[in-house]
Amino acid sequence: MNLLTRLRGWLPTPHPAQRRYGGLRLDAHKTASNSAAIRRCPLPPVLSLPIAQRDDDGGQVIVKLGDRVQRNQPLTADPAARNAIVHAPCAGHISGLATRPIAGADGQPQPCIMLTPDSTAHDDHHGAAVPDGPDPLSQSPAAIARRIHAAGIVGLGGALFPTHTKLAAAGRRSVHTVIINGAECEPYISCDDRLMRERAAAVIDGARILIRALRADRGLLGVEDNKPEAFTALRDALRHRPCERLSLHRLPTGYPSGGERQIIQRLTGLTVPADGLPTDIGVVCFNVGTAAAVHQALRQNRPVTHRVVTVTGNGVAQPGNCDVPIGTPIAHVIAHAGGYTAAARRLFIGGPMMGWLAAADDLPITKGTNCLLVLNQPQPGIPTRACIRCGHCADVCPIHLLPQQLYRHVQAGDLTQLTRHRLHNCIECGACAYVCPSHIPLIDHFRDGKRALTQQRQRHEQAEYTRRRVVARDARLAREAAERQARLARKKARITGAAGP
Amino acid sequence: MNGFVTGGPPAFHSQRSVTRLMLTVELALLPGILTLVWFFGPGVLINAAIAGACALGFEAAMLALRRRPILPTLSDHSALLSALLLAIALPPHVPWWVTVTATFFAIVVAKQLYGGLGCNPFNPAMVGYVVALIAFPQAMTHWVTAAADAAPAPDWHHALAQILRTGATPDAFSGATPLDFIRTELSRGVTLADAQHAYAHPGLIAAAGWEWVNLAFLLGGGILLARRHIDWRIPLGVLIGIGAPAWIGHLSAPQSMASPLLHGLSGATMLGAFFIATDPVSASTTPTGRWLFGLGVGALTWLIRSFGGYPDAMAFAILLMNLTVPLLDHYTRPRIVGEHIPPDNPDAAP
Repeated sequence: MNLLTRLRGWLPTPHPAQRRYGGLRLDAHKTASNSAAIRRCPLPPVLSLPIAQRDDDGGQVIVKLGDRVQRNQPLTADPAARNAIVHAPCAGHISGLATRPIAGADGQPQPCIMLTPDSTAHDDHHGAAVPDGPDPLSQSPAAIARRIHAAGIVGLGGALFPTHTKLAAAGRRSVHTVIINGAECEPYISCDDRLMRERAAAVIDGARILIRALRADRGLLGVEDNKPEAFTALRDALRHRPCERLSLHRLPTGYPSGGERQIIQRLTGLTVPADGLPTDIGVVCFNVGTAAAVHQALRQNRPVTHRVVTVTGNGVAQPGNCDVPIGTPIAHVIAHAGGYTAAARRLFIGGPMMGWLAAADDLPITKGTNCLLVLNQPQPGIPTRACIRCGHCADVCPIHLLPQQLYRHVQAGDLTQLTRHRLHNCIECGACAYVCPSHIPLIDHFRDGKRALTQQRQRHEQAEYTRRRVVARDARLAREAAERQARLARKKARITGAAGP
Repeated sequence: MNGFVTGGPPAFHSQRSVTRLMLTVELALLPGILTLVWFFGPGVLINAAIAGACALGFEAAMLALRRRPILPTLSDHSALLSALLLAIALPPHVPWWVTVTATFFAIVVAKQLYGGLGCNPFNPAMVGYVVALIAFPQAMTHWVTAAADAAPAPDWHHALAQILRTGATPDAFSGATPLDFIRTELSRGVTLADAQHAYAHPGLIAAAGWEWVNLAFLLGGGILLARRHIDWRIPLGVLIGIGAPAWIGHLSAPQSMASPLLHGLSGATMLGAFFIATDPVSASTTPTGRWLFGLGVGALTWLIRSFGGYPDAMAFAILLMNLTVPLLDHYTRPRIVGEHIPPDNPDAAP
């Protein structure tokens, strides 16, 4: 048994929001990668910088083929401030513009800017800081958001949501609490752990700036209690530069305690509305990596051009964490980690629970690629059997869905029941599929079901649109006919009136 | 490098399996089965062998007819478990054809005709048992008298002769179950205390042998609970469903209504509460639904035992509650986290 199979929901620490959380206890598998310091990954021969890091439209490309660019130079513009700007991780020249699969967006092809580094370019991103610009703590929230937009900061936990749009959306509501998420609950991943240990001051300072940017009353930084070194480092950094609004909290280890809704519930005792957003209850959540990036951008004038990636698993020779330039091909990162072992068979982009398995390793790293996990042979295939309705899936669901019922309704194509059973609220954490004794790929089925629900909604919207147009046209035709009748009647009246005695 | 293995998330698994679940339940039945053998002879083992062989044969035949893979399905142990539960429920010296008929209805009609494992609305073992109870009432009401110091349990030779009906001699060990006896006595106007006293093999609480059999099944159920293979709500619901009305009844009419302890340690109470009502396929699957399902099974058992036409009622109670499961599941869906809080955002998803 290579994984802990205990199902028990863990016992929460004393807290106002004590209740059954569901979830799993998983073997952490983190020691292989979290014992060594973050290494620097050298520049690859060519960087492929995805213009849109997630499946949005991205910004406008403002460089041309053959252009020379400097390190940290923006390559895209985004006047509407809806997307994240992409910057050059090093000096070089633009050698191409192409559409190709990336490590984000489940491997869907995305337009990329190819950047060939200069032969003299060396990866000096950890060189001297360039203090520039005013102190963010004395700036207005709008000014801070503008600078964050200019630095291309997105949610580095993997969500990739542009941070400035999050700030703008939250700024329109009243936010009392900022959560800084250092839970990192998924097995194998340790990039946030190392980041918190090595750049604790940056995390604390970024958190302080984010609290300021939202004019929040307090900030809560949550770290799972299986990372005592990170907790100590953060505590020391906070002691060194105290901030009375920011406090540190230990979270009980368990999967998925680092989910946005889950960590909010554990830290504040508040429940995010199932169909709403954290801002509905005055809470906004950021990853520790995002906080560190905010510090880097606003204190050292460095945009997001690199990120810490955990390279681990028994299929890698030297597991560890690397500071990788965005756009570096996975193969280059793995080669830097000692290359594959002979038995490597599976490549996860992201963690083992929520990541996806890539067939090839030529995909470029995005701002959201937190982990490359290479494992040996798959676990011996236990055949998929019929659902026996045992309900273990429901016991571990962190939001109390009934996966066994959802599965039945997905199979039956019953969209009404899927809506009633709230398939759309599923966070796809994979806890249900992990415990399923029948080995049913529940998440695959749920994604199918969600797709069907989306298609149904689109059909309804289209039908409603068509209906409104038909109704409007009928009304217009009726109105025109009435007007014509009225005109005729007036004319007739005029003629008969004129011709009358 | 290309050609990595792909697949859906999560690519990690706890290594639990249906086969392992079923095997654990079978193992947890062992204390109860051994106690049955101790007090009532090896008849239950012979019945289990007959039922098990028939169940595998029927299941294989139906899978072949339905053009489904045979060996992978047989290896899930679900047919064997149904056969084992059926053999435990049947009287130890029941003629072999009763066991075969009951197994046929359990596996072919109740399970495979509805679509096999996971699709049967009724508990297969209980369907088989009830068919036998209605079709062969004579054979089904003759239990074996419990072994005592003076009278040892029947041996292999005797049990085989009775089951295969090779000897023409009537069964010297045949007798009514304590629940049956007390019921008959009560209907004749005898008080409960006298009836219990008049039973030939009074035990410490319920009746000789039966109390130990029930305690052994309780032990097996405890193992399943500790290993989280069954949900605790159903067995607790069954026990409360029997115990609460029995307590009220016994307090109000101590001379005619059996006590909760007598109910709890008699007949199929513990077997039903921990091993049969907890069959996940045919039981409710929501937390509240499981409570209601268990309470319903318990209450119906008590009702039929006390006022109905049969001495024990676990099978009927479970089948009746199986009927309500779609309704229970529909109306007891748990509220998900945050469902009761209206979103404050006008442009949030509907």
